[in-house]
Amino acid sequence: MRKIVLFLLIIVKSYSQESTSNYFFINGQKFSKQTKYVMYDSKEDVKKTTNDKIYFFIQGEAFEFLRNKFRVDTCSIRNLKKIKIEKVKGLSDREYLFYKQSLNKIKGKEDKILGPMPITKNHNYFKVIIVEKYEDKILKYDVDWTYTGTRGFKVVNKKRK
Amino acid sequence: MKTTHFLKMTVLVTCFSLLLWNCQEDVIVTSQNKNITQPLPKYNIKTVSFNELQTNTAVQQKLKELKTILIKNRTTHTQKVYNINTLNALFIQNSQTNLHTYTFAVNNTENQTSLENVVLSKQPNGSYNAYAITYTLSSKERSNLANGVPVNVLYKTTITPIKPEQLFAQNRGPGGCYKFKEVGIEDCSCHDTHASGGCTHPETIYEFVEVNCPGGAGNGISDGSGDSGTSDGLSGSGGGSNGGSTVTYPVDFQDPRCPAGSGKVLVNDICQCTNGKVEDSNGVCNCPEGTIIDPSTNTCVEDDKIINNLTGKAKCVYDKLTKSSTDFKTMIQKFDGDFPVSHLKLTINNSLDSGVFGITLPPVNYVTEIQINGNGVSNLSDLGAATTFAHELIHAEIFRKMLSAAKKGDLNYHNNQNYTTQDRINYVNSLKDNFPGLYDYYWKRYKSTWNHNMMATHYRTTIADIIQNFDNNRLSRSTYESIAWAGLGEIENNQSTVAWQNLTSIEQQAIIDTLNQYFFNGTSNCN
Repeated sequence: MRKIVLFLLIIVKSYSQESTSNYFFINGQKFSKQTKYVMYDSKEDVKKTTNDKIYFFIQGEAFEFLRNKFRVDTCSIRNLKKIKIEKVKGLSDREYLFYKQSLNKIKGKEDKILGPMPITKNHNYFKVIIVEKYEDKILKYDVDWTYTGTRGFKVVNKKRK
Repeated sequence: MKTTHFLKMTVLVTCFSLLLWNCQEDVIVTSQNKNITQPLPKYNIKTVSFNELQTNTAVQQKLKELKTILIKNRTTHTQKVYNINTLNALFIQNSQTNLHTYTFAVNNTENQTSLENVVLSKQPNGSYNAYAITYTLSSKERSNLANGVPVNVLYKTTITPIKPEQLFAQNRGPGGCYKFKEVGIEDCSCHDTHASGGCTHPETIYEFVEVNCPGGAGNGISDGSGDSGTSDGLSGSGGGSNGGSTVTYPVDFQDPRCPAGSGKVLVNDICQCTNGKVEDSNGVCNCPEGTIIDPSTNTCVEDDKIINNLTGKAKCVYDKLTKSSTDFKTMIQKFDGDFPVSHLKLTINNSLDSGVFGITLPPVNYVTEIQINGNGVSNLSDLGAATTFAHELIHAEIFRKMLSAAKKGDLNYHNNQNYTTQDRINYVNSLKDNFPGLYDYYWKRYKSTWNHNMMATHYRTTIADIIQNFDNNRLSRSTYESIAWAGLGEIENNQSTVAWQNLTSIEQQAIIDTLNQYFFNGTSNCN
């Protein structure tokens, strides 16, 4: 019996790990996240580094790279041609559209509650990879796309026009 | 065959419940300072067969008694009849007190919406008390279980004594979730004496550890965990679950070997207070000053429903706000008390983007966290910092209302580990009935900026009231009303709220000027 339990736990563990990165669930149904590549421009955007995280602030959106959770890929800059870079502006709206499309695919009338985006800490439906140019290479960071960029109390200090 | 199937189902429930905790462990909310003095007890868990049970005469005696009671009850139809599967039982032993429970599956054919167990809890005198554990599940959840889909049974559980007069059971307030964590292997824990060569079947040792709740902590759930100070003379370590680890923190009743009413438990032949409690002048175990009992764990925890980790200027301004503004204090108090819908956590986060002075994180396990950019607010006037708190507190208040509609610990209503289909329906209906404005902005006409749009239209007056009190009416009312626009005009990604768009450019400029004068600059006594 103990072996069965252990076996189930192993299955369960790998299942749960997979679910945090590449998939999302709506009412128990599994969907693949769409992968979006976002370019980090060191001249325009902000990068803050701490011991365990790297924060990227790109055009009002905030992304977190967790060192013990994610990895950085280093590729030749030639690889950039193969990547479709997303505009950050409107990324949330596109995510919402994708979410609504996913809702429409839900099987079972009972579970098909067409509601708004649930309130979560991170954006759940796009998998975002930050791309940074570094000499003749590109660095690709798996990140969490957080709501801290857009949901925070942001007050811009504007001077008189 | 049927019973075997049921036992398998039992194991599945257990394992899948563990899954829920496994994947949640790295997500927010820590329970620091929860256990103040004493480590949690460790447990041995194993499945015992019918043959092994046969050797335990006390268990057999209790099962016979139960059978008698149940047959008697069947004739009167006054109480439920439990058809116990005695082929196997789950054995859980508290290694600290050496008391243990046997958990039996119940073949329930009468009520298809629940799974049931019967737990026999060993008493120090060697006898057993019996409790019925019921998991109320929807037909969908049962179907999910049958299909191997994870179902969270936590907080869908009630514990009822089979002989009701014997158990002190009380409703529980918000609490945590627990799982059994394997902490090592202990050889020879199973017998008092061994054959030469020692014990041949070592036990795995477990301890209960608090984890983030996939299903949120429950309100008003009867888990049968008796408060040791108010028990009726029973003792034992109980708990158990549908298979073992999914339900309640183990029951630790008052030990009758110790003075009645003292709440003490016999450990290593000494009656002592446990779970962080200390003996008061009357010889009764109570939580030390500054702590209260956490009903979910029966341990003493700090008496703070509002966890305040603020420092520097943020702390100074927050303290001043709670003293000066009745509105602010009233709003804060909604997160206080014994069983609030949500707890509030105030922290500093200096890693927020520049220009972002605070953020309110969505509730996790009933805790809503407001993060203040300590570096950011240190460059604001006191009034600016107070506006930051007022703004974020309204975000928290909106989340609190949503939690009360959802009756859950989080607002991720698509997470079917926490929300059943019926929960989702109830959530929407409750929003519609109790918070029509919120329903309109969030659900009916959802836009990603719904929150700030709603605040800009409906909450600016509240913010103005709070900061006016804070500032002791130093400025004109219109100035506070202008400052209340902070963060509610031009917002996310160069978007602006509808209310802001409805202002003329002259009005907008006047507000920007006021913010420059009093929000970014101005009096700063808190440093």
